[in-house]
Amino acid sequence: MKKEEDRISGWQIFYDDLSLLFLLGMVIPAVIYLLWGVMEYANAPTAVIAP
Amino acid sequence: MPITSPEKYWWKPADKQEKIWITLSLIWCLILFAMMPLWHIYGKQNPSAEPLKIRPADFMKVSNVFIEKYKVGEESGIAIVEPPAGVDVYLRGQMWNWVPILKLKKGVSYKFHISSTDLMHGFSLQPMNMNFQIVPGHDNILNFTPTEAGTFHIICNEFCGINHHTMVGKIIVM
Amino acid sequence: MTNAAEFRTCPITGKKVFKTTQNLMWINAVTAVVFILIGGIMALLVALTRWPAVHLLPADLFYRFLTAHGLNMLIFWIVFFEIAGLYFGSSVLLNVRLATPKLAWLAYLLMLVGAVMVDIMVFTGRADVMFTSYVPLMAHPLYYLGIILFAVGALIGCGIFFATWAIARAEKTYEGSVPLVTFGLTAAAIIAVFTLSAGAIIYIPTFLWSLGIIKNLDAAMYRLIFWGLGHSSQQINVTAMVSIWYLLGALTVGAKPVNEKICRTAFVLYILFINLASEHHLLTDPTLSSAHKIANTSYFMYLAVLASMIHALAIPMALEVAQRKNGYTKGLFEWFTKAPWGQPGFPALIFSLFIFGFIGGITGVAYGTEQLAIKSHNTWAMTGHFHGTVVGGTTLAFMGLTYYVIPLIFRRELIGKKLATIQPYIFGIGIVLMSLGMGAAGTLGSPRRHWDVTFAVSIIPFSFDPTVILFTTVAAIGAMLAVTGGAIYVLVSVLSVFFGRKMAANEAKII
Repeated sequence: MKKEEDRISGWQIFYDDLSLLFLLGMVIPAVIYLLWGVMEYANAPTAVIAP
Repeated sequence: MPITSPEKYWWKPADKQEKIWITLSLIWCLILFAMMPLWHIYGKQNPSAEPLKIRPADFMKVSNVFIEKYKVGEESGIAIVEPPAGVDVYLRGQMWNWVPILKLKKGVSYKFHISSTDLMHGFSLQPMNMNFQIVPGHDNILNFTPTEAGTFHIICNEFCGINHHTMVGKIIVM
Repeated sequence: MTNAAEFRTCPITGKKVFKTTQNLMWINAVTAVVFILIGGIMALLVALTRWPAVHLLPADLFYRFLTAHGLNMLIFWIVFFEIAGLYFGSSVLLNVRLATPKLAWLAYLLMLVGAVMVDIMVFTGRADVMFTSYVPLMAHPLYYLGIILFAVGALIGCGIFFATWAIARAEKTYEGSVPLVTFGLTAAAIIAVFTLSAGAIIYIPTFLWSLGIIKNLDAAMYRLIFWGLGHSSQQINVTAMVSIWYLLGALTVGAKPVNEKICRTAFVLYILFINLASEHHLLTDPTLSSAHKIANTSYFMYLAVLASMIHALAIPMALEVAQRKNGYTKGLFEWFTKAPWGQPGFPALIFSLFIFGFIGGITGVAYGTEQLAIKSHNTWAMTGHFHGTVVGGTTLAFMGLTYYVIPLIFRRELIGKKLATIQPYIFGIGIVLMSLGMGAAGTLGSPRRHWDVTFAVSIIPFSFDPTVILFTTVAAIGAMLAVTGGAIYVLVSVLSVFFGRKMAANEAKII
């Protein structure tokens, strides 16, 4: 019995388990798209115009 | 069936046809993947790459200074401006005009600063159809070199209120 | 109240259909159809205005109805239908009762109240801000609050989907892995959580800004985060639509996935990378760096494109294998020519697949490069692109599925089967004409969201190449066909749901 369990691919277990997929699905776009973008806008220089 | 659970061990090698298709698709994706930076580096038409924020009131000020300094005439109440080579060009999107009308020289390179003093506008140069998002508070810095003489129009292609469809600007290249 | 444990067994699939799930699916799907009706009427009026020969509405009503069209179609119709789909994918396909039905009703009420609030604000002229409501264009605070309520409701719906999944796993109501369709819908739900969170991040400050509590919002940053909602919500549609393609394949010809690993991997690639496609809207924006633009649209996004390429093989392959098993083995294409073209689900599936792939998908990938974005940004070609994806693709797939949901889940026989069968053809051909017309006019520079492409009233005179008017007319004719198809859909589904013959408990007839 034990041996049979071992034959289930690690990938299959990863796909069946929601939590890690969920986490990656949140973190990847949050970091690469949102956070990075927000940082760029926040850190962009502002033009200084003489009065 | 896709509506029932699969067999217990479904992590199985793909078929030959599937492998061929996926390999071809992957190669195609990799080509696109390489082309994106290559176009950026070797291509001559890229979006703005100079980050700069500018307060709408400040942009109003600098563009007015620019207009007064190089104004050569007026059409339909909008100033016509002819900037000498080497001077930064300021183009203002506002409800519902592109200000000023520009007179440029063929073959001369101009550094454009395009921004808005009210809402979002869409810079859409016709008839060559080149489009940029114009955002209040941000300076869309673009380097333009006119390559042919003639009259060109800028329409607005971002909704900016009730008269959005009347917003047309003009660039004359001599 | 119905007993939460009350269920019937479907005579065709053997699945348990719980009464509470059935009721919640019913209310969400029926509400979805009400909103497609509102959005469809707006579509007709907007198309008749853009058609230069007709130019129906005055400018203010045009922009107002265009705002309503976008919201009712892109958000209300599709998300209500998707919530019904999520309840189906979890409760019905996993043979388990729906988690917290009371909360599901609350979610429904929140979404309904939010949607009605938004529509009232838009139709009374207090939110002429388009679907995107770009800051600093300001709407009435209740408009933003409506969107927030709707998003919170939809987020609760996603939570119920995950909770139902968890109950099924704990109670072992399925063996091994979840069915592929459920897996695909899980991908859609994960994408939805990111999407709706981005919506909350941007709409809450915008709401406060409209109340005057926050003074300044950066317009460019608004665009960045808004598209985390605006474009990603279309990725939910893509993922749900692909799941429905697999489902329609099973319902129409008995197709089963050839290789589960390949199909599921494609969905995983969607979960990981598809949301980065929001960047496509920002390619011609100021301030944002080229590195951000290229990384988001190319390096990672193409992995999601690869996923679509995988589905583009896996689905037709599954159909072919199933059809050959059904006995259609002559030559290369008998499996295709002898497919059930006279059943609404099959043409809906094929049209949806082709329009999504060849019109929506290809244009999407092309316009998603920096230089081609310069040529297409905010032109009507964009409108052509997303009508290919979200109307020709998602909406048509949802329409096709409806004709099966009515007999299978709601247990009513379809009224007007012949109409239902020609509906996908009329709708599909209409959308093809419309998208191509929009694409062609847009490539020549015709702008989106524009009342008058003849520029009859502009201060500085301007006119397009006359071919723009020709292609605009082609698009308008396509739109008329599509609206006809949409009207047939609403008619058939409403008549069937309310007046269709009630089917006996053991009646195993689909169409």
